Formats: sequence, structure tokens, C-alpha cells
Amino acid sequence: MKRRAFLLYSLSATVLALPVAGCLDRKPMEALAEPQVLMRLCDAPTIQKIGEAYRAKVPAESGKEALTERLLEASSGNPLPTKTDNNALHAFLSNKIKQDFEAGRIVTLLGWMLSETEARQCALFSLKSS
Amino acid sequence: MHTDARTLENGSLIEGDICIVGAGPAGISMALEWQNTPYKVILLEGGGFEVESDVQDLYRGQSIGQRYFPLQSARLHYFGGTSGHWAGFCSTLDPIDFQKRAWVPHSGWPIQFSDLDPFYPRAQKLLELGPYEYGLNYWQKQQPGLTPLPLDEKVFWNKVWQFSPPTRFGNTYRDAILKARNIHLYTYANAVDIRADENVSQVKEISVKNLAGKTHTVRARHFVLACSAIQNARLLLASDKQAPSGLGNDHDLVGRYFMEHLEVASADLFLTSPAALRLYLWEFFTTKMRTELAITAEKQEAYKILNGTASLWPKAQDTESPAFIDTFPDSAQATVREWEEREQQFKAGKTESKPPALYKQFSLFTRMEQSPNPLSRVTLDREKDALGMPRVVLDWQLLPLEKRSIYKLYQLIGQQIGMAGIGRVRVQDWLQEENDTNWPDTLGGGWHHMGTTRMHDDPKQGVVDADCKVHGIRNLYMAGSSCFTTGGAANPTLSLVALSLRLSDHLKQKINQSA
Repeated sequence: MKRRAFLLYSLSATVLALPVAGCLDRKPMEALAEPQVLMRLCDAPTIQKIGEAYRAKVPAESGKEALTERLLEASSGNPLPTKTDNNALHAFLSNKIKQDFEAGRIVTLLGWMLSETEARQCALFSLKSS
Repeated sequence: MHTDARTLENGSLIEGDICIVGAGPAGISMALEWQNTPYKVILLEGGGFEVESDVQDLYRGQSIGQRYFPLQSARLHYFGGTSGHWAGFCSTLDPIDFQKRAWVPHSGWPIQFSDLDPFYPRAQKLLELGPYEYGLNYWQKQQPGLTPLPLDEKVFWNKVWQFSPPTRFGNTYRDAILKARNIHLYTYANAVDIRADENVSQVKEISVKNLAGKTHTVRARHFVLACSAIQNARLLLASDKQAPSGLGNDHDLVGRYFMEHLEVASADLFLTSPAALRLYLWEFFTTKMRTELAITAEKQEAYKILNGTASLWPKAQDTESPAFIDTFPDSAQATVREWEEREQQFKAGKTESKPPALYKQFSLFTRMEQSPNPLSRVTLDREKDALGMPRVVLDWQLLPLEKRSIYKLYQLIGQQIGMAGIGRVRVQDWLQEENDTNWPDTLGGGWHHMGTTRMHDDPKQGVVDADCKVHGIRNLYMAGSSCFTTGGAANPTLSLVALSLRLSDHLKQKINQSA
């Protein structure tokens, strides 16, 4: 895991134990497990199932560390945020999702056509309750 | 003028200049073109002015391939033909539909879009449509607020549909046909056999029968079969006394290349913010135009896929309607009655209350052309109908190309919706794996029968030439979608009427020359 990603990850100790919505006590890195668009379209159990489907489909990314590492991979035009607040992370991930769609990095899970990034977010989300 | 052929003395001889077999949209459109000309037009209709079960039974046949609608109710055997239960969906074929596409076997018409284009405006009038305008810009000026989805125009375009009232040819044009002095409509006159000269190069006469036990003979200078794609093929194949494999069938092509549009609910579009998307919506008897998401010609070529569209249908909740193929009645009378009731309810203002104007979820419904396939075909059965004609066997066959094209269509829609950041697409189970060639039980067609006497310059590749004339027979023509070489993404009625008008002009030219 790259240094910046590791630092960000280490700040997120409690993130995976938080509910997906309605949380008042938001912690840094919570955004990693919050597929924002999907959260507006379907309920938590559905996101959970999508996440489980991703982990089954991509066993190499079935753990928190691997998922976090991939989610925090920067790309040209989308550097890692310097701040660790959720807004900055959401913006980073949103950009990453857009880039995924543009590049055709799309995965179909339970019929949902998702960017790889948001599929990983679902996977991370699914781990919090497993 | 009208004669009930059951009332004629058995063995009557009917003579005219042009004989049109079949009084559906193609046949009636052609006949109307000949009003007030010096030529006598014989218009033969197998049924009467109402749908009757014993007449419909003449269309009954077996279906041995891909699951299909009951043949005795998918086509209506009476004056006005299948316009008696159509919904009025009209759009033109696209230029790419006529072209030879290396990735679509047996594609390529001998005519181009520009050859059919002049006939569309005339077809528009017959189908009581709006102006011959199929560009989105025109309609946006007429109806401000028709906003398209923000998708890449290099990938998708908004293909315009216009909606006929829908024109019931049997009602709308009955008076015009009956009053025309030179048009002689014979009802209960089922063509059962075509007889040619000794060389089988020219049709001499057609034998017609009815359930009253009468048989008559029709002679004309030119004969046009306009009985629907399945029945056109059936009549040629059954006319085997002089040509053992059937008339016009020297190369075993008649009945082959049967095509449908693959119509099936395929995915759901979920929007993050509710939207009206009025541009894409349709309501019975109300909507004048709408669009469907269509793949650009460039992308069809790039991905080597067929032409197709996705239409949007609002979903009030996450529930599925039963598939058309599961609900289509066996009885033709029931299909007509259903439509009449809908129309009456609409006119009485008793239609269901309109759902809310903004929606978060839409069902995405596919209409995909079928790749021309010689193994998808109509043949004759050993069983005969009440008039002694062999019944048909339909073997509707699909290819992996069709499945891959639908898969790709939704991959592209999903990608574009994701890029636009307005929502997500969820495809159905049967569309989740690229290499899965299985079809769902819900797959149906649009009741669009095409291709059984396909058009091609080469007699070894098509039954009719560019003028819809049967190769090798100088006075026998086919009218309607049986001539389609490929089906395109549009419902066929507008194009088959346009093609019939083109044939009519050709015949006028020909008959004037010979005069």
C-alpha cells in the first residue's frame, strides 16, 4: 500500500462499523464505503448484496486492505486529496467513478452496471456487517 | 365496387388489369393509388369486413422454433388486415439498414434509403401521421421542453417515432375503395393457387376459394401479392403444380429469412433525480411523437452489432408487467376487441388515471433487428386448411449476433448513463454475461413479419428484384414487408406502405408503357 493511502486508511479505524446513511458521527474515510449514487437508488441490503457479489467475483479484492488500496489509487487528472475529510474523498471517488465509466471499467453485479470503483465501495460496505 | 365472392356463381371468371391479393395496409395503399385511372383493379380479400374465427383459422400454423405468437391471431384476415390491431408506431428505416454491412450476413438491399425516401411522405398521409419530419430538432421547435438524455451523440441518437391514430385501414378507406368505379373488391376470395404459362415466366391466373365452397378464377395483366410475409411465401410455395418447389422458388429462397423485431424488456434505468423525460414517453391515442435511444451507425460498425433501440417506459414501482408474448390472445377476435375497448375507453375519457409526471425509474425495452438468417423460415405443413391449402410451419431462428447486439446496446446505455452521472442501469438476468447466448422466456416479437420474399438483385440471393418483381416471372410482384432484405430498428408499417407505393408507381409506368 502506498504511503499516502496507508495514512488515510489508518485514520479510518471505525469507518466500517458505521451504518451507510443517517450517521451523524461521520469519521474520516467513511466515504470509501459509501457509493453515493447507489445509495440514492437502492437500499442498504441491496448494496450489501452487490458488495458480496463483487467480493465473490474478484477474490483478490475480498479484504478491506486490498479494497482500500484500490479505492485510493490515484490517476492522472485525479490525485489523492490532501485532506482526509469525507467531502474531499467523495469528490476524489466521484471523479474516479466518472473516469471508470469513460474508460469502460464497468462491472455488472446483480444486474447493476457499476464502475469498478463503486463496486469496490459496495464490497467495502459489505464487509462492515460481515 | 364490392362483391362478396360467396355470392358469385361457382367457377366465375374475374378479369382486370391489376390483381392485388390481400386488402391490408399494403394492398389497400396500392389500390387507392389506382383510383380514377382507366385501369381495372381487382382487390382480393380472403375475409370479410369483420374478423371471423373460421376465416382466421386459415392462418393457423405450427411454430417449431423460437417461441412465437399464435399465427392465427398475429395477423388479421379481413378487410384492412392487421391494421385492425396495430398500435400505430411509425418510423423510417435508417440509411444504414439498406447498406451491405460486412458484419451482418446477407445484409444489403438493392435499393438505398434515397430510393424509398420520396415515398415516405405519401405513406405518412395514408397513415394519418404528421409532417414527414423525423429529426429531433424539428419536434423540439414544435414542442419546447422535449429534452433528451445527456448522452454522447457519437454513441446514441434520438430516433423519432410518429404515431398513427392508429389508422384502421378497414374503416378509414372502406368507402373510398367501395366507391371507386375502377376498383373491384372481392371479399371471401382466398387466393389458393397461382398458375403460370408453360415456361413459368408469366402468371396467367389465380384460383380463389372460400368457405362457401366456391372456386373462381382471376386473370389480370399484373399480379401483386400483398397478403403478409408469411402468407405471401405460403402462396408461392403452395403454387407447385408447374414448379415443384413453388413459384419463384428456383433457388430455394421463398419462405427463408423470416425476420421479426426482437422485442423484450431488458433493463431498468434508475435516476438519481426524478425526471419527466417527456421526449421518450408514449400514451395510447395521445402521443404524436416520441423518441427511442438508437445506436449510431458508426457504433454499430465499430462494435459489429445490429441496429436497435431502447424505449423508456415509466415504472411507478419496481414491478414487472407480463411479457407481451405471455398475454397475446389465441383468438384474433379477442385482439381486435381489446383494441376497440381501449379506444372506446379513451374516447369516453375512462382511461386509467395518469401516473405522476416525474419518474425515478424507467423500464428499458428493446427493439432489435434480426440478422437475416436462411434457417429462419416458413415452410408448408402436410396438414391442410379448410380450403385445401397446406398450412404453414414457422421456424423462427435467432443467432448469437442478435443476443450480442442487445447485450452491447445495454452496455453502452449503462456506460453513458454512468458517464452522465444521472443514475445507473440494471440489466435483467439474461443480459449479464457477454457470451451467454440463451434467450429469456419473455422474448417476443413485434408481430412484424418480414423477409420471406427478400429483395436482392441476384436471383440466387433474393426472391424479388429492386422493383419487388419476382425473379424470372415478368408480371408477378410482392408487396409489403416480405420484400425487406433487413428489418432495421423501426416498426415496418410505414416502410412497407412506402415500398408498396413505390411498387405502384413502377406498375403504372410499366402499364402505361405497354399501353
